[in-house]
Amino acid sequence: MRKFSIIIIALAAVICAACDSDALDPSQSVITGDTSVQNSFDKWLYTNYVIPYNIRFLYKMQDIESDLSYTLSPADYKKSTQMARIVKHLCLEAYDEVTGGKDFVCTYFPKMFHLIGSAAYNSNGTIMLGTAEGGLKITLYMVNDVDINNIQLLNNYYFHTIHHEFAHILHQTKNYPVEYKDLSGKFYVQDSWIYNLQYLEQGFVTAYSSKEPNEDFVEVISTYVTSTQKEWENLLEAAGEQGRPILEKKLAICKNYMLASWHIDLDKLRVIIERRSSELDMLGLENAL
Amino acid sequence: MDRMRRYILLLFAAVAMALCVSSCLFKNDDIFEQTASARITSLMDKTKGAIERHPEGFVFQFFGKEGRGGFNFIVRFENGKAYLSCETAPSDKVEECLYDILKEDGAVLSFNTYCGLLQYFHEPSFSDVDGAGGDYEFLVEGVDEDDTIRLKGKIGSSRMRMFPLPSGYTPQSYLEAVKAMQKQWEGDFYIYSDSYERLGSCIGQLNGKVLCVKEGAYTNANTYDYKRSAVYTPDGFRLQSKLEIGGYHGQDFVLKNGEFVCTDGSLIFSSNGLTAPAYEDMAGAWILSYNNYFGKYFAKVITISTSKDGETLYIKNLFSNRELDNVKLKYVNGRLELHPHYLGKYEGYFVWGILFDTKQSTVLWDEQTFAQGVFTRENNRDVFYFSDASTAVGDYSADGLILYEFTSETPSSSTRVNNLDILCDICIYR
Repeated sequence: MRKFSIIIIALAAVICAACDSDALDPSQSVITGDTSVQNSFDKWLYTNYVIPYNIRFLYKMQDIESDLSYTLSPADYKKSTQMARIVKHLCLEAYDEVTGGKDFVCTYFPKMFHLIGSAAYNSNGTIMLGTAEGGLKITLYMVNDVDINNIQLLNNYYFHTIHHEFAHILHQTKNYPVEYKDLSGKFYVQDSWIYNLQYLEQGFVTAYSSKEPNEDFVEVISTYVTSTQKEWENLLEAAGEQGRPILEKKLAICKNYMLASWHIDLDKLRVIIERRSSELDMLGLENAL
Repeated sequence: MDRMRRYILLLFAAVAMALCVSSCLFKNDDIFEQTASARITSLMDKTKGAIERHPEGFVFQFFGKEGRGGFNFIVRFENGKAYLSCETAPSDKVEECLYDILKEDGAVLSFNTYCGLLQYFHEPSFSDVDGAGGDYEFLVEGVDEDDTIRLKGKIGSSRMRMFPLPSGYTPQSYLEAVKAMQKQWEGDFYIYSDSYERLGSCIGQLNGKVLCVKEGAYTNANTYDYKRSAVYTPDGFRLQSKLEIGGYHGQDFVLKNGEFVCTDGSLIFSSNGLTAPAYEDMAGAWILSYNNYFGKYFAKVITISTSKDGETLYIKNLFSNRELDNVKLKYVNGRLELHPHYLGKYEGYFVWGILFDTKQSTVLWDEQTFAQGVFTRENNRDVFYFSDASTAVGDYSADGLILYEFTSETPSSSTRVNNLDILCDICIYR
């Protein structure tokens, strides 16, 4: 047995001695960063997004973070600085105000915004305005079309999208009542929604809502909080006798869900967003950061 | 038991021998001296170093999708920002964006915020969801000793280069110089070897930015053996990739005595013998031949007349029985351009001569769209072959003429009625 042990030790020694090894070079690291120069906007983002919310605001195009199946253009630098300030004021701080602190946004809001300059054009003639991936990232397209003086366009293109995507994260975390899915059950048409011109009469706030129940649910929330009371009333009126009661039921479920699950009063949130929308001209958006 | 132990010892000894031999016998040399990561870092440092050594800027010879031509940018890098000007815009126009040198699968030069001049070649739209095939991110393939940075488009895969702005030039004067040189490409060229053996013919599209080369003589402007994008320099032009024809080759050309002579091979582009008739000499009888949509060949004697404006030519006798004897051509630098235009009334409708994509059966009436008649000489005859020159809408090829009836004076989708005739493969000769 002793002889056996000696042989094993000798064998190990021989094998180790026979192996060649390169010494590590402590002066070099395989993990090296890029050559980015930190500009004033990067510093502003660190102070206003990273520190308070732990959110990364990616305005420099990174194809690895984008949908590679589309041809996309980078976002304009100035438009990006405006977008960052508007998103913070109209969205993050609106949720802070309605929830009474930053914890809600810190806990549930996606950890990254990615700005794309162009739209994502589909070959069927539609465009994609935004996406949310796994609750971690919101991608906003068409940033180069930002018009800071047109709140309607800002809502239609961006904030409708942000609230839409955030609502997806909320219902994926705590599901909404199943009876919601029965309210327009037979009218969901999947990808044929683009041809749906009767969506209002069918009880949908937008044509896209008629794609499937989850999209319908988040469209009601995002449309409601980005509409004035008058715009919402006009929408109900246009829905007619058939669509109006369905929309009212849907909104009631959404309001109850947000209050019960997240302690958010949708009406209060809408008032806050409307007030903050009127404050945009005080943000000095034309000035550089 | 002893026997068993002996067998085990022998077995261990054999395994030990095998291990020792296998671990000592071969020592593979590394193919590269550094790890992949270290090589990328080194390339990033070289790129950064080259950029910092030339605050005056670089000439960026940009190529987008194949067959779209080459374009000069002047790029000045400063403190994380890139300042770009381009020959497609007024020479004093400068746009800025941010740039980074990134570590990905290789070193990448990324212009990662919007620059309209660069995105012109990349921007998607409803009519062109894939954009024009350009790039805003470029893999660095190498940095030469003279600080030329060799690049490859990350999406389009076109190879291009960026070299320090030559001394004696400002960004503006360099762009003016290349625009002036491009004007030297007029008409079409024969290709010769350096011993003046004729190898082929060349038609320049997009004002000489795309060279279509045919071995021998052209018989149809739509056919070619080789197609190369060209980017102009103050002295001549550079092809996107090397051209090889008849055993001769070349990529860089300089203008000498009216000929583009290769500096890195043995080819010569010469317009000798290929000068189109002057505008005034276009007047007279010609033969216009064409195939109709079903491939049937027609030929007809026509009369071309000139006008006072010095560029419009009128074709008479083409549609003598249809009161549409009003076909117009535009004479531009020895070429003929056929634009969409109104011909006259027929059967109570407004008839337009508009362009037609024969492959995609698409009518094109955008005013920027035109077919171009390029000049060549065949059997001592003057010949103009018509082919697509520029389409403003999407990826269409304006290679035919279609007579279309409309209920309105201007063409529109809602007032289209009927087509009267389609002329494909149009050729005019005498």
